[in-house]
Amino acid sequence: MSSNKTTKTDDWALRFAQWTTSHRWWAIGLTVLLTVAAATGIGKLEFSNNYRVFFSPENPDLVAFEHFQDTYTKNDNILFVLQPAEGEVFEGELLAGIEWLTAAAWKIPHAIRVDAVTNYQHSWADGDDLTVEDLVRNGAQHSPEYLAARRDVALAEPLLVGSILAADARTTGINVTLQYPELSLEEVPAAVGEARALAAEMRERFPDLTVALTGVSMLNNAFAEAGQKDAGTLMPGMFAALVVLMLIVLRSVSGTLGTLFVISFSALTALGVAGHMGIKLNPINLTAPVIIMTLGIADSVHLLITALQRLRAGSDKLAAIRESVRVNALPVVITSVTTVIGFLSLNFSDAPPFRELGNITAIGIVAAMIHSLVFLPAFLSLVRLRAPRGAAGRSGLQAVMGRLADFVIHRHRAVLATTGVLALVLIASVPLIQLNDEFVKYFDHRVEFRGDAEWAMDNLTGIYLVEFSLPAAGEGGISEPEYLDGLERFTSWLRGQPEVRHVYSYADVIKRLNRNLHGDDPTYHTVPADRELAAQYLLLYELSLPYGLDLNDRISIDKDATRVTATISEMPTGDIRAFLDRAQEWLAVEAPDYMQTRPTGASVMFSFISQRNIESMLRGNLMAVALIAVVMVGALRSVRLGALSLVPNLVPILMTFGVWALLVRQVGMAAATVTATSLGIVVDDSVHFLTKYLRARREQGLDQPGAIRYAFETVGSAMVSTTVILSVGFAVLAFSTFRINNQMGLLTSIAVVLALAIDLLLLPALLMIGHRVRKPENRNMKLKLSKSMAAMLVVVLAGTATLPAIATAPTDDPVARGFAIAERSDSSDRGFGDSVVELRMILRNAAGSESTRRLLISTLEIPDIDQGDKSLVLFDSPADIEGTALLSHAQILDPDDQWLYLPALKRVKRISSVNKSGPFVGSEFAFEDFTALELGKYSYRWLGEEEHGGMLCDVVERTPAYEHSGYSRQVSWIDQTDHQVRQVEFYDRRGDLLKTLRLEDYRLYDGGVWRTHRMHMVNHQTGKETDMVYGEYAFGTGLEDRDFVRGALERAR
Amino acid sequence: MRHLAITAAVLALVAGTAAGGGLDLSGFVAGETRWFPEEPAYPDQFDGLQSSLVLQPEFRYRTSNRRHTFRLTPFLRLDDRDDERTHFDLREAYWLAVAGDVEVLVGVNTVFWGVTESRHLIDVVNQVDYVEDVDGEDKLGQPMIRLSWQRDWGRLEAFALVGFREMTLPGPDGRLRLPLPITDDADFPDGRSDLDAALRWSHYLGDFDLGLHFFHGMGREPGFRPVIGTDGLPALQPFYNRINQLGMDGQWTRDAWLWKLEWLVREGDGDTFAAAVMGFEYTLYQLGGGNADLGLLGEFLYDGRDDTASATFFDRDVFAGARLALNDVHDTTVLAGAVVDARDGSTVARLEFERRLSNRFKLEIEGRFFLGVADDNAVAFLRQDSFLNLRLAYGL
Repeated sequence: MSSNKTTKTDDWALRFAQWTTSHRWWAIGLTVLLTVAAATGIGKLEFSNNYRVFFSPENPDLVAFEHFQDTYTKNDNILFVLQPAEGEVFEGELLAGIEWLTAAAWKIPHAIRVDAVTNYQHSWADGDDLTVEDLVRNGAQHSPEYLAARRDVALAEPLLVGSILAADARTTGINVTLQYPELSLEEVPAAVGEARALAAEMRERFPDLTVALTGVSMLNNAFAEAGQKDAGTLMPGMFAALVVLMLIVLRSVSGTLGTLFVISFSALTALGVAGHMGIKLNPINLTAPVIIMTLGIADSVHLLITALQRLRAGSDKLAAIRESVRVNALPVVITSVTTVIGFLSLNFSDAPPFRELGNITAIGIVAAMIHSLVFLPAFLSLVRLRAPRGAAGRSGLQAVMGRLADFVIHRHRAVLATTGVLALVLIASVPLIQLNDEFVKYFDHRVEFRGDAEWAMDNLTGIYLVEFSLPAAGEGGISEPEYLDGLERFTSWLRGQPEVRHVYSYADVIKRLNRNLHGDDPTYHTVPADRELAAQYLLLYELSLPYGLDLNDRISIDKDATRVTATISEMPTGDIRAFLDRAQEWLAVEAPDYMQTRPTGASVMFSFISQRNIESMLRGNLMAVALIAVVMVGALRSVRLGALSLVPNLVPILMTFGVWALLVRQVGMAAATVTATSLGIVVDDSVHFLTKYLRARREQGLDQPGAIRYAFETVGSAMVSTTVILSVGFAVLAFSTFRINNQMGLLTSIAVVLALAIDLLLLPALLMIGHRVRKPENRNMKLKLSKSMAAMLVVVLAGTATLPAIATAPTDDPVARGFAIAERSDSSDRGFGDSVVELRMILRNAAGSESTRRLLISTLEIPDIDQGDKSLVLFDSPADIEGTALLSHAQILDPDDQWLYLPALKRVKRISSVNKSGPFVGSEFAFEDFTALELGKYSYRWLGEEEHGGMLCDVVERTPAYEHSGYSRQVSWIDQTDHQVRQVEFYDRRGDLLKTLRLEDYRLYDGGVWRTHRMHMVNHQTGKETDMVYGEYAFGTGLEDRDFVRGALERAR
Repeated sequence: MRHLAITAAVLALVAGTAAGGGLDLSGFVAGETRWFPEEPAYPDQFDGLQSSLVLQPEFRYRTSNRRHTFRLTPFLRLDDRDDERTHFDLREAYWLAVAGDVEVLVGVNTVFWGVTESRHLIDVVNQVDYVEDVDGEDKLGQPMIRLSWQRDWGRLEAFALVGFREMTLPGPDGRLRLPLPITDDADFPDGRSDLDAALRWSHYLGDFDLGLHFFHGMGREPGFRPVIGTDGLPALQPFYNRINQLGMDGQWTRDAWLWKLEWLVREGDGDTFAAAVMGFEYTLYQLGGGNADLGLLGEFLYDGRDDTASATFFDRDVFAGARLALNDVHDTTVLAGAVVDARDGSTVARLEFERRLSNRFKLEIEGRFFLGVADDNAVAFLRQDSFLNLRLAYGL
């Protein structure tokens, strides 16, 4: 082992590993015993079957609903929906069948009421008496004419149409109301079983009849059935997928087997403890085993990969296992702790199934941690464990990781920018997400209930009910004309709403009674104008109703409130909330004060479930994030890295919601909890990466790039492997029949993959940030520069030995000599720090007409010869471009960074610097004549010596090494006395002489810096000329880096 | 006349106090004539030519240690047709102090955010001076306190924006106006706030320039709702919502390509929505071996706001344009471009020509054309207001 610095934790972990591997039978025995003891609780597990489990007892929507049910009858229902293949339901045989089914439905356990078209209590006037009777009795014995008349009665009845009779009379329903004692979980399945048997019998009697079953009891039953279905399909599918994946990743049968033991033990332990705790299973908490197994694998895989790497490196088995435990114990414990924190934070959820999911999973994770640190090493020491054949040294994935590390290190700024922008775009898209909890759509089409409920909605009536209990003023107040009038208007307002399919209201009953008792005179189809009268009608009617068809489910016992039930269309829950708001607003404005109420019902409860859960989870999430950050700081012993780890921990989760917002848009209550479930998992990758990174920094003293490379090579492939396993494991949940699980699985899957991307790209790029400052060299640059740098190195090395001689002692190599002369000339200009100078440009065309520009040039020297200087050109005239400024950050060979400031708009615009050869403000100077003054921008060749302007000059050819130059080459005359450039000839891309530049009026400033004060450029091809006349230079003006940033352009003048 | 008096007073004051000191003066005086070839669409609107005089001097003073800068840029337009277009504004009137990495600016200032050409989507700090031009590039000065912090991780700017300014709109006799007169009193459904806040981070990394901002306060873009005016006739009342806006601007500069993106999510202006402008600018340098450059521009505009939000033309549009710069002594430039509504084909086209006549004089000709505008398009009210503008400016 290379490291001689080990921590206390490592010592402890090593001793621990020695114990488990040397007392392996004890270790195995203890863990198995623990598992068996826990697993005895599995027998106590039962499936819950009530949608109310999704709401905590304190949930205000549930409290309101229970209160409502106390007022009327507390009931669930089963709705038989019947549709003949052809024709209408008012046909003798079928009506007889309906009568049979109506009577038979009483056999369904806990049935307290059965409503059908046939037993609808039809009331009519018989002289002064009120007659109340079944709409159809003994249907098979009546003539078609009679039945047609009854059909017309039924279709005119607002209480029937849209509820248990379709407007086209093609479909009808038989509604069975059930009241469960709620003593046993068998009640609902028993009732549903009986209902299904009746439906089967009905289908047998009428082979052409479609029979569907819907209603609240069917919904409740579907929750249990979906869970059972999932248990039967998800778990085996998951197991198979994991075995295959592990064999691929580990390429070790015994390793795979050991892992399977670990995860099975963990899942069994968790389920067993859940049984002991009396937790009822539901589709949500039933996903816990899948999650536990997925997470348990991650622990084991990390241990196994290290052990196999050691084996491959030639270590013996026992040493390999112990070293693996030593290196991985801390990260395994930290990741387990953070994951446990994440899942335990689900206890903040308002929905009990999620709390249970969190607790069961937390138990399982702790079990997985113990089993992978105790059982797995002991197991491995018993079985044959060999490094996979054919893979000596680094595996393919490791090599890829190495290349990825190099890429991220070298291009960390680009990586930072790209991932940063992508992350920001995704995160900012999160507000586009829409919450939706249509409970029928919780189930996929494999669940019978979904198909039946949707068919019923298409053909007869909806399952989404909104209940209003409208209070009256005191006992018997429901007969008050003001109340009845309000009720009547509210009913018709509801009927006018586009979302509403049916309204059941007492107003219709009392209107009908009023008409009946006025000799069926249609003008009396109104609410009675007198309280006494209304109360009497109601009494008369109630006395006439048969058993089981009373009005107790519509009117409170004290007659101080009535119930209005609105059946609404299937629509996103956001729209339901809008509808509820409208209804309450209507009541507030239009109804008497005492009639105010709050809508309730299952649809209402589910409409608010996501918000309530998100609100309650927000606190939990914050606490989990804070706790995890504390754990990270403690584990990494670095506040800086602990804080930094928040980025890779939180960003992927936020990005996940962004991805979802862009791709899917709608999400249900899974959204509230997925942060908690994925947070703990997402943290794992950053824990592994950062612990390895720190180990390299602290134990091996590597710099940032070295430590990043080490982290990539040691833990990169394990991170990829576990990510694949985790994302597949959670993706398995997408096959759940239950949409919340399906969304939670997909969201977590996306989060895990994004977390890997962030950990391998953004995190190392972030770690590189501090490094840039101290970076002594730029490898990237060095590669590109290799040619001229090699030449320069030769010269510099030679130069330091024979420094005084270099300018005069001619070298044989013209390239080296050319460079040396240019370098000498360049260095005589350097060391000035910063300068400011005024410049006048005089543009002259071939005809001799002149035009002048005035500018101010500020320059900041960057001493590093690998980087170009920074300059700011500020225009003063002509008037229309006054204030325009050009900021350049010169690079050596890469394109310069340039920004243009447009004062009229106060806009800063980054511009392309490709335009090297374009004319600068219409002059004969190209941009590159101005900006390409860096030594490294050219390669050089010495051509000879020549007399120029009374001075002996070296003639040096320079060839642009940067892209997009307009020149094929330049020839410069550099004097041998002051080493200044006296003349330059520019040759165009075709190789023809284009321009000649003469540099005159050199002056020597303090500090030994030479500057020309007059440049004269002639374009030989157009005959145009430009003179540049410089003012006095000011050096050391106190300009700093921050005066050469884009933000400073605004105050450049 | 009142404006003229104010301007004269300000000028006299500045000239008096700083006479002879290191005061710099620049700016311009310009004469403009706009010609509307089509008949006006609404009663009271003038027909034909509209002339005006613009004065925008700029006074700058900087202390010798360059720590403190004072700047004053008053603006005055006198218009012969539209009283609402005759207006005075302070584009800039601030004191800027620099201390190390920190800059403090107190006073009236104009700020530009963004990278795209066809629409300045995220540019939210200053209110638009709509009577100047319909392109949103002329803006009213905004009183503010701005703190800037320049570090190697970028520039962070915090704005406290004091006082909300309503958009300037043409009067009943002006062209380019809405179908009905505008009431004097704007509505603020969420209440009016006169202290808005904004935070912006901007930086560049290699070829990437990036900006990120958050704005909280009165939305600058008004919506309009029909009301009965004080004279009992139908009118339009502008209303301003209180918004939260999170946005981003980025540009990737690679060779001759500029790739641009502006993007925001806004809350409070109708339903929460996202809007984006993305596009490119590609320049063909030294066209045909000469000195001229030809820039080609393409942008795609998306805006997800709903009917209850402030109005916009740019809901789903495509912009294509070209800029020809001759790079001659006169800086002759021609710009042509059009924004086309991808759904109904409504087109807003512009054509600009500018050329320097001398060191001080500059000529600009600008045409703006509303072509094939659909009846229900947001710019339907401008369909008869295509115009040609001639401007001659003299630099001070």
